[in-house]
Amino acid sequence: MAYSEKVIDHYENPRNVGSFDKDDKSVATGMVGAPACGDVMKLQLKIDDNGVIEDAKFKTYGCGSAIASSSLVTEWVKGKTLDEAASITNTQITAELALPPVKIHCSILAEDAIKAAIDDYKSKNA
Amino acid sequence: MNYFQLFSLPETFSVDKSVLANTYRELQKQYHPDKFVMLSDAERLTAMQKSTEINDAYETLKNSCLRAQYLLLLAGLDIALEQRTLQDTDFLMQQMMWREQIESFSEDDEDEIDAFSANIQQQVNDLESNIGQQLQEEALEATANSVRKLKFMLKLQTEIEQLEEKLFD
Repeated sequence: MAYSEKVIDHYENPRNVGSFDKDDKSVATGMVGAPACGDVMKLQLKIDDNGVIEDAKFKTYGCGSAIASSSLVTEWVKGKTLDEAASITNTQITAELALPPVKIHCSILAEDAIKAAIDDYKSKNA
Repeated sequence: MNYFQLFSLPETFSVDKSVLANTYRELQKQYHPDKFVMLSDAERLTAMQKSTEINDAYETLKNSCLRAQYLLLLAGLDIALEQRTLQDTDFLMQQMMWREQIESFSEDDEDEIDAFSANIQQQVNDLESNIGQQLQEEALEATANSVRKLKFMLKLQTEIEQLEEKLFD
């Protein structure tokens, strides 16, 4: 299957790979996995005092599309509020990366990772 | 007729592998396309469909993950094509650590890889015995969750195989 140029770019030069301390109160951690393919994704957001995402990192074990989806999402969420980040949909990710139908679950994984991270942040700071 | 009935097997998660293989060979013989060359197009088509069904059934019944998924389907829960994500943080953190470990192995780590592989196999066995138990108790959602986890474990096993091929072949 041919990957789009944008997928290859993110796959070869993934943005923001790495980790923050998950016990830090200003860090939101989202762990999600796709049973269909066994891919695992960790997305972490560093949130400032105004509720704005100042930095994001990811680590993904999966195919090129899963890596590209998470890499893209780390770029997109920076500078956004939590509500703005929560409104990112898998459809937007699919469109940006020109993912074929069999790889749509990778974009769902990335969308759910953002939501899981925000849930984690809210439960930590409740 | 469902796959278990086709193979004259009870509809249970545990399956006698040798009975399964023997029945497969017998059914294959019985419906071999060569036996139907003299028949009408319609009868040949029926035999061909039967032969395909036998192959599909065998592939499903011999694989624990597909077999569990099929039993869930028979019970009314279809998870084969689901796109939902798993969000069990502890389980996924562990998955991530195991994958990091696989990444870190080199050709000097043969013993460590063997031990690692044995541990993963044990986890697979435990999950499979959970699945058998959960199916018996008709706990469908719990079974589905175990099947989802099993898929991650099987992926790990594939990655260990690929690693061993890369390092030692």
